[in-house]
Amino acid sequence: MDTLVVTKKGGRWRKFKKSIPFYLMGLPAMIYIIINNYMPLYGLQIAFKDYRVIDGITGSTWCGLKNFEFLFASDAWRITRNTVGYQFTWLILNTIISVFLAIFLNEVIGRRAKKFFQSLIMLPYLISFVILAYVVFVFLSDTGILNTFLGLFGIDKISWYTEPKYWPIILTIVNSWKSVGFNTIIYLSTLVGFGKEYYEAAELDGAGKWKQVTKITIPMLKPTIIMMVTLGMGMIFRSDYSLFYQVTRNSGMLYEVTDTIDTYVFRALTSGTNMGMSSAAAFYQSIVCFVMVMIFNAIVRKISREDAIF
Amino acid sequence: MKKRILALFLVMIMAAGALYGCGNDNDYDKGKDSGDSGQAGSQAADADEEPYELVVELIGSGVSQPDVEMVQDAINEITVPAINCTVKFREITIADHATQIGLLGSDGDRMDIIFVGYTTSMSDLVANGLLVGLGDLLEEYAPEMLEKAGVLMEACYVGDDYYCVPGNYYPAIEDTVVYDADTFEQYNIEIPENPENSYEYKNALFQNIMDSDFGGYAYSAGDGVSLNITGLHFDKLGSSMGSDGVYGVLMDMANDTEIVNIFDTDEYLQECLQLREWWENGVMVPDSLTSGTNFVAAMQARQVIANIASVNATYVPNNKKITGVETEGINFGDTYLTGTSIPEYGLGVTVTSERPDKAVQFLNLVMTNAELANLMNYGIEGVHYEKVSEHIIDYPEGVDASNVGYGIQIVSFGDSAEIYQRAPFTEEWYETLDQYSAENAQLSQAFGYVFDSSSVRTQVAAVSSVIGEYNPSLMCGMVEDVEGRVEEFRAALKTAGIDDIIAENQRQFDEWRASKAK
Repeated sequence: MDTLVVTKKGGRWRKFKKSIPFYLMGLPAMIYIIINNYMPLYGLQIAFKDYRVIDGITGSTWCGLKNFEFLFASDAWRITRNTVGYQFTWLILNTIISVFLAIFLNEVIGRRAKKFFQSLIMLPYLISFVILAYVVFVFLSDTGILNTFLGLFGIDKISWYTEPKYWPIILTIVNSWKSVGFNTIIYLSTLVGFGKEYYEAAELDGAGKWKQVTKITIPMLKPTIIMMVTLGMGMIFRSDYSLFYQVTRNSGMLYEVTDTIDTYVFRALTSGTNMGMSSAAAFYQSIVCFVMVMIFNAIVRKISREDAIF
Repeated sequence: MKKRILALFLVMIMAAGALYGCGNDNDYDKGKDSGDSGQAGSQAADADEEPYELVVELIGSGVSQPDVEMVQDAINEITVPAINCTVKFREITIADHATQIGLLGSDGDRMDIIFVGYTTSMSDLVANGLLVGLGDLLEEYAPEMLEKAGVLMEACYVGDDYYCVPGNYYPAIEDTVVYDADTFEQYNIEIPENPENSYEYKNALFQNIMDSDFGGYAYSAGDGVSLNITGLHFDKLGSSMGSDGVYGVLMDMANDTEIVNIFDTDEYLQECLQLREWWENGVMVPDSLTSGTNFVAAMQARQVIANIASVNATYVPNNKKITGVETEGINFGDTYLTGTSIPEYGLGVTVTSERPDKAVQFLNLVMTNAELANLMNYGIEGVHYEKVSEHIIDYPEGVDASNVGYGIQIVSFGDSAEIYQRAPFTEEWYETLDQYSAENAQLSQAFGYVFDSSSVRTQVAAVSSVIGEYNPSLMCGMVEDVEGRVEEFRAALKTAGIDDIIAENQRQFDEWRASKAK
C-alpha cells in the first residue's frame, strides 16, 4: 500500500515536471487573470462601506447593508422580472437559433456561400448598440420605414416609442439579430471538428439528413451547448445596458417592459457619485449570477454527470 | 494536497490584495504628510525658494491642444515674478472629469486646482473629503478676490468652511425670448409686445410662428430632462440635471421658505397639459425625446425658431456662436440667482495640493489679472487669436476652432467683465453684464444653503429613478392622458419616499435659517 502511494506521488511529480512548459505557457494568462479578476475582489468591501474617496477603501466606515436598500426600494419586482425574464428567454431562444443556423450553414450550403453567410451573420455582432439604436429608430420613428409601410395598407401610424406592448418583441428581435452570429460561429467551429466517419456510417445504414442531425450532430454538440448555456447563466442578472437604454431611446413610457436593473441603477445614481451604492448593485448582480450558475450546474449533474462543468 | 495548494494560493492572492490596498493608502498618507510640512514651510516662504509647480485642471471636449506648453511658458512669465509659481495644465476631457476627480489621492497624481462643478457637485466632493477648506487662506492671500466675489462667497460655504471660489461673477438668470432673428424677418413673424413669462404670451408668440409660412415648429423640449415651468422661478436646492426636483423646491425662490414637492403642485399639471396641447397642435417637435435632438441642434437645423427660457448672461451670444444662427434675445428685466449656480463654475483646491497657500494666491491672481486670464483662456495674441476691438477677439486668418493650437477648452478663467470674448460677442454685451451680478438679482431664500442628503440617500436614489421615468415624456408632450399619468407619477413618488426627503430638507433648511439669523 505504502509503495503504491510513493509511486503515485512520484508519478505525479514526473507528470508535473513533464508539463512545466505548458504551465509556463499558461502563466501569462494566469497572471493576467489574477491581476485583472482576483485583485479587484479586494474592492468588494466598498459595497458594505460608507465610502469616502479620501479615506480610501480600508479607511471608510462600515455601514452594513444600507447600500443595498435602494435596490429594493420601489421597483424591485419590475426590474428583477424584466432583467431575468429577458435574459432567460433570450438565452434559450438564441441557443436554439444559433444551433439551427450552425447546422444549416454546415450541412446545406456550399463552401463559398458558407464563408459569405458566416461573415454576414457575424456583422451585427460588431455594430455598437449606439449605432444600432439609430438603425432601429429609422424603422420605428413616427415617419419611419415601418409606419410608412403600414400606411400602404391603410393601417394607422403606431407611435412605437410610447406603446409598451410591442417592446418585448422588438427587443427580442434586435437582441437576437445582434448576438446569434457570435454563438453560431462557436457552434459551427465545433461542428466542423466532428469526424466524417460517423455520418458515412449512418448514411450506409440508411439514415437520412434529419436523422443524422438529431441522432449524431445534436448529441455531439451537447457539451458545447451546456457550456454556452452555463456561461449564459452567469449573465442572467445582467442586462446589456446599451440595448435597454439606447435602443428604447430611454422612453419613460416603456419602462414597464424595458426597465432592467442596469437602467434603474443608472437612473437612480445620476445625482452624485456614490461608489458604495453602485458597488452594492454590481455585487448583488454577481451574487445572483453565481447562484444561477451553481443551480444550473447542479441540475446538469443530476441529469448526466459527465456533462457537468464542475 | 491539491486542495491545500489551492487554498494556499488563494490566501496568497488575498494577502497580495490586502498589501496592494495598504500600499495605496500609505502612499496617500505620505503625500498628505509632505503636504502638511509644505504648508508649514510656506510660512517662511521667500522668493529664493524653487517656484512651486501648480497643476491646474483644464477641461476640454477631448480635442488635444498642441500649444499647451507654449502657453504655459507665457503664463509662467507672469506667475513666477508675481507669486513664485509655475503652472502646468492637466488636460481632462469633460466626460472623464468626474472619474478623474474621484480617483484623486488614489493614483498618486497631484492636482492643485480643479473645477468643482461641470458634472460634479461641490457638496459631493466635500463629503468625500477631496477639497481643502479655504476660509483662512482666502483672508490672508486673496483679499482682492474676496471683495470682488462679495455675497457670492456665501454659496461656497458647506458645513464649516468655504470650499471653492466663484469663477463667474455674473451668474444670475433672466427670462428671455430666444429667437432666430433671420428667420423671423424672412417670414415676417411678429414678436408680441410686452414680453412676459406667461402662457398667454407664449401662445401669442407661437401662434404668430404657426400662422406664418415657416413650415417648421416653434419650440422643442429636447430630451425633456430639464424641468421648467412657465412663469415660475423656483430654487431646485441643488438637485442635478436629470433628477430636478428630487430634493423638493422653493416655488418662488425670492420669497418662499417652505419646501414643496413640485410635482404635486397644480402649476406642474398645468405645464404638462399646456405642453400636450402644443404637441397636439404641432407647435412642438413631436419626437424630440426619441430622436435625441436638443433645442440647440434643432435651432441649428432651423427645425425650431423660438423659445422662452430662463437663461444666463452668455446664453444668447453663445447660442449664436455654436449654431451659427442669428440668435437674438428679448430680456424681461428681472434677474434671479440661486446658490447652486455659483459652485457650478467654481474653482477649488484639492487635498492633493502640497501648497494650498500658493494655489489660493494663484486663484486670486487669475480672478484679478485679466492678462493672465486671457492667456489661460485664449492663448497668445497673434498666434491663437487676434483682437477685433477692445474686448472682442477672433481667430487669426487661416485658423479656426478645428486647427487652433490653444483656446478651445470648455472652461473659462477670470472675471468675465474684464476678459476678452470671442466674436460674435459684442462690446455692448459687456454693458448688459451688470444686471446678472448678485447685487442686481433677486437672491433665493436658500442662497448659500446646501442640503446634505446622505441620511436619505436610499429615497433619493428611488425618487431620482421615478423622476427619470415620468418627467421627460410629460415635458415632451408625448403622453396622451396627462392627468392620469401625473396621478401615477405622484403616487410613485410617494412610494419612493419623496416626503421623507422633503421633511429632512425642510428640517435642515430651518436649522440653517435659524443659525443665519443669529
